[in-house]
Amino acid sequence: MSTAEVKRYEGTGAIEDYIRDRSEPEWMRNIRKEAMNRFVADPWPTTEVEEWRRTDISSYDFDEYSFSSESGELASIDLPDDAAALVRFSGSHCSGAAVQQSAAEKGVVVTGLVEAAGGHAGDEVAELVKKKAGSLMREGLARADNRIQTWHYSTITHGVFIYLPKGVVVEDPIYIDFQENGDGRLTVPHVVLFAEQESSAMIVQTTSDSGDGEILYNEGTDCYIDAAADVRFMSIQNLNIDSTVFSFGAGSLQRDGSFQHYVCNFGGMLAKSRFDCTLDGPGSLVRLNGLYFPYQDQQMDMRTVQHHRAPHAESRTYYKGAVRDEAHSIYQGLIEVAPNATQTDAYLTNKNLIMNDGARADSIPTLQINTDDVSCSHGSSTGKLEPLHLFYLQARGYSRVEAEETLLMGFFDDIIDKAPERIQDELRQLVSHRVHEAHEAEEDDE
Amino acid sequence: MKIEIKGLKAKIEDTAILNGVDLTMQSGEIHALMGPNGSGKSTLSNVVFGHPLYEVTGGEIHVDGTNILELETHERSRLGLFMAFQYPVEIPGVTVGRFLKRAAEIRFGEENFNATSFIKELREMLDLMKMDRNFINRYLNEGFSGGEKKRMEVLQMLMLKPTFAILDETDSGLDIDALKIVADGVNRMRDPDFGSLIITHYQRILDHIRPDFVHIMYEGKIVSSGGHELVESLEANGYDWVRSQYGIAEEGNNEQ
Ligand SMILES: Nc1ncnc2c1ncn2[C@@H]1O[C@H](COP(=O)(O)OP(=O)(O)OP(=O)(O)O)[C@@H](O)[C@H]1O
Ligand SMILES: [Mg+2]
Repeated sequence: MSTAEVKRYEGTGAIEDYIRDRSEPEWMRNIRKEAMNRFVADPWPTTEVEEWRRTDISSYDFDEYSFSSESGELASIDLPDDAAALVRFSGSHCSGAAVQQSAAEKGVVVTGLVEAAGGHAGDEVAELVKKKAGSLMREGLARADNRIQTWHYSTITHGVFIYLPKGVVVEDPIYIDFQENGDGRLTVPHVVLFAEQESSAMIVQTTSDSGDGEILYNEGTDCYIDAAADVRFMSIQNLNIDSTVFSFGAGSLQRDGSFQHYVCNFGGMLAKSRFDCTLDGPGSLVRLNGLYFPYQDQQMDMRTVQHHRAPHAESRTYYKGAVRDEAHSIYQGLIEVAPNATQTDAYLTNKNLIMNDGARADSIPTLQINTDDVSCSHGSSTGKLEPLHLFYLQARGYSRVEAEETLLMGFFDDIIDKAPERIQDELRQLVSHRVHEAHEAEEDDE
Repeated sequence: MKIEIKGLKAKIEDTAILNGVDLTMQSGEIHALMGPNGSGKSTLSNVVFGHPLYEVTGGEIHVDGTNILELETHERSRLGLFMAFQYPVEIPGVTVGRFLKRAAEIRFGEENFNATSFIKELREMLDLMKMDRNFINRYLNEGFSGGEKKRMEVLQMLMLKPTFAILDETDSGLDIDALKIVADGVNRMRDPDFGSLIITHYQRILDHIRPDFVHIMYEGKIVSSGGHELVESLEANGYDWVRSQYGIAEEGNNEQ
């Protein structure tokens, strides 16, 4: 059982109280305080800033959301057969964490961030968190360029710390399971991933919720991929569509590091996200994949950055979305190449499928290339659900909803294909479920 | 199965295309439909299936007494009707195997569907159509040659075993060998419980598949019906013969 102490968020006063009342190590408190000072000084982002031009948050009353800190006992949980580790949260409460014995013996750490940071003095894990997570979070905060992010760093409610020691290859996936609950809750998870040289792992994060209560979810992710490490990070966000979702993530790569990020967006009335990758080491490789499928009156506004700061690095972004009903998607992609990043090979692709009149997709790719001797370009396309394709399938006996589902699966096929194999079926089910749900809603309207 | 088309009129946007088509067909019969370009042959097949761009402005289509104009496209298909499209569409991301599996499940009922025998039969039919077995994993019609698309339509007919099939110019764009393969496919279906309407411009396919009835469409109407001798007259005299024979005024025709 967990107990929840709910405090209404009333501007910065509430944040100050929140920080003061937490028993946390000094380094974390300092990050929060610095973030708070910047939060106080900054205005909320307005539509005058390019990144926020199409997403107006001025009508939001952020005071509406209550601040929560929950505590409870950490239960031990059974590790599924195919998992190297699992951390599960119920709201901000870490309800269970387990790591495969073989991985733990090699020094792999997968744990609740806040819980581990608060360990006793001399606690090895607490020291590791302080050193590794502390530095990454401070850098993340230094890079933060808007008030949503400084708000995030000052109000982190819970999080996960993943540490992969040098040379350790984790075969099975590491699962992070954020189960949100509660009406009008402000929930602010932070994930830190630190992959040392030549380590390798796959992380699968799922974010879902128990009920229909509206949640304000403000997530942050900081990843560090050291030389020749190879990490895949997949995140499936499926919160209810009354919620508001902010997600700001960053990854930085050293020499020959490889990082594949894969995000699937289904939830949120508004879902605003950015993933920013910095290729700091020569020979590093980045893949940013995105799948999104907003419906009803959802708005998803996504941005990716491929930031090349070293020669001979390669990056690919592939974002693909379908938009239905009155939904609106916005994708902004940037490839930025520093003067020293010669021989850069970077590409970004965004494809959209408009499923009906009234649905909208905006695609805004940008290249900023500050050196010659590179191969960079982008491609985007926006298509419609073809009536003749639907007719063909229907003439073969497919009902309207089956025909739509089949065409949508076809559209998503090459992006689902890029997901780790064990997740592919789950993604197909999420897509299929949404199409059927949309049709049922239409039938109810008739 | 009995299909009765009576006084069928249809338009696309504001252009009337079908101007009162009367045609009755039954299982066990093979019909051929000929007629100049633009006379409305494909329109007729599309209207039978409820194509969204055409609007029926008059007449009826009954299948075994049911007015199918009130049914949705997939419901018409589920009666056992099939159409081989004149221009099959390319459907990216959907493999032939996955597409046909679902179509077969719908046709025969999920409870009667057996995946193993389905695959076995699909392979046999691909062999019969002289198509590589790799086609199972290719995206439907994507990058297929014109002839491969036509063969894929016939393959679907063989797999789905309709009661009545409309083949819209399935013989166009085929070389002699492919034509023979396609004709063999249709002849294989020939049965008292199977009927077909073969739309074509050429005699050669009708030499392989001897139709029981031949109809000629002209400006959105069936102007003549008969036996195989009609095909020969057409072949010998062209559509001018139809025009003079049936007293159609020269002006206003859209023959090319
Ligand atoms: N969108 C449209 N708007 C106006 N007219 C159209 C449209 N689509 C088709 N048509 C016309 O409808 C007429 C009938 O076309 P249809 O495809 O049925 O002819 P067809 O007999 O099958 O010809 P073919 O032998 O060339 O296949 C043609 O004159 C065609 O130009
Ligand atoms: Mg035609």
